[in-house]
Amino acid sequence: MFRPLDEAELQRLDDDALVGYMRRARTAGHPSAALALAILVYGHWANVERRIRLKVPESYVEDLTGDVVADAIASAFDGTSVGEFVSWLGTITRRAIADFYRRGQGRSRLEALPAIEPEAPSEEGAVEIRDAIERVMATLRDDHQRVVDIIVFGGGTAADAVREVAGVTEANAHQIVSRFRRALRRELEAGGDTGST
Amino acid sequence: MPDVDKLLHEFIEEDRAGGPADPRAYLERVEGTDRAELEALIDGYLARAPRRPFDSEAFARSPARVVAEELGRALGGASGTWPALLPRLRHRAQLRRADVVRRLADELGAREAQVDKVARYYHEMERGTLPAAGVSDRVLEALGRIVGVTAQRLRDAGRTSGGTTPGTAGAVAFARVGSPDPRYVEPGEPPAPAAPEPRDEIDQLFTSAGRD
Repeated sequence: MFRPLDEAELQRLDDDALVGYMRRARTAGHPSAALALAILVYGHWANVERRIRLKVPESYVEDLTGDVVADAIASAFDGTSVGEFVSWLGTITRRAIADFYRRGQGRSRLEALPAIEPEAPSEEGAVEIRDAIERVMATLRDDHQRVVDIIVFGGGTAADAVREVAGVTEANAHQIVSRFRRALRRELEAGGDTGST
Repeated sequence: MPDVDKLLHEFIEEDRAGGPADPRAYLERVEGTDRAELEALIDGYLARAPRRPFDSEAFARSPARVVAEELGRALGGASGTWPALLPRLRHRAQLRRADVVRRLADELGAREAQVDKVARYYHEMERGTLPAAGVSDRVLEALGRIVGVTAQRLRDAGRTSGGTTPGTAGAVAFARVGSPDPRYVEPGEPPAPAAPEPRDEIDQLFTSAGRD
């Protein structure tokens, strides 16, 4: 039995739950499917757009952002995406940027790629399109990745990391972040970043 | 020169305080490897940043609305992602819908009397109401040449998302995402036939693929 949710309730759903809701609302023919879709598109638009703007000339940013967001949501909706929505969105974003340069500027991504890439990326492919951050993160243990996520990307403190990650002390947390940052600089100095302008 | 840590924290604070913060304003303040590092870190933050809270007024003014509108037609329709793809390909090729229809009719060898029928079918493809499985390779090959993609690309898009059969539930569910993007909307629906038309080769091309 489908139970419609209002805007406040939809806002509280995480991405994957929102996609699931869209499917159920579609089946039920309920117009809140449109609101769920709008929340998902709007909610990720600015983040994807700014990531693309870091790598791609301004005149292509809006089109490429639209391609990425549309592809990611369509494939999540029909069940052909891989993993959690936000990671899938990141994968599609990196592929789109890498492809933009692989195919040559000015050629639409729509021209060259399948609409959605339903299959899981091959390990080789995944490595190829990873940016410097992801390459360095991939060398860390899961708990150390979590520490970096909390402190570096989450704006948290070492104390926050200690509270959230079992077995980590504040001194450990500082060391983990320092090692991550040194490794990132080495990676960048080696010039291995993919798709950068 | 400000250090990378400080700039990253300022960026995150501004972004969380309501943002969206502009990365370029921060990147301009560093050079060389520092700049590359800050860019990578900001990119990493954006890749992990949570969904922004919905703001209906900002959404209405945003390019996100256009994409949601196209996706809504795709997810609620029977034509895969054609409603999201075809208007954008047409726009990028700088073609009006009437231009695409005329060229498609020519490519398919339609007689003058059959052009309106081609227009109706193409309109249904853009609106997501034509079941993609019924559209023949010949149509997709011709359309691909016109808008500059492969037939396989169009076939794949037709298979993605949405429903596989026409129906009203999906269309109703996604009917209120937004109003159509004015860049892609052209006045006038294709004319309906004055009287029932006999089924002909144009109908075959748009509705009978895979039935033989």
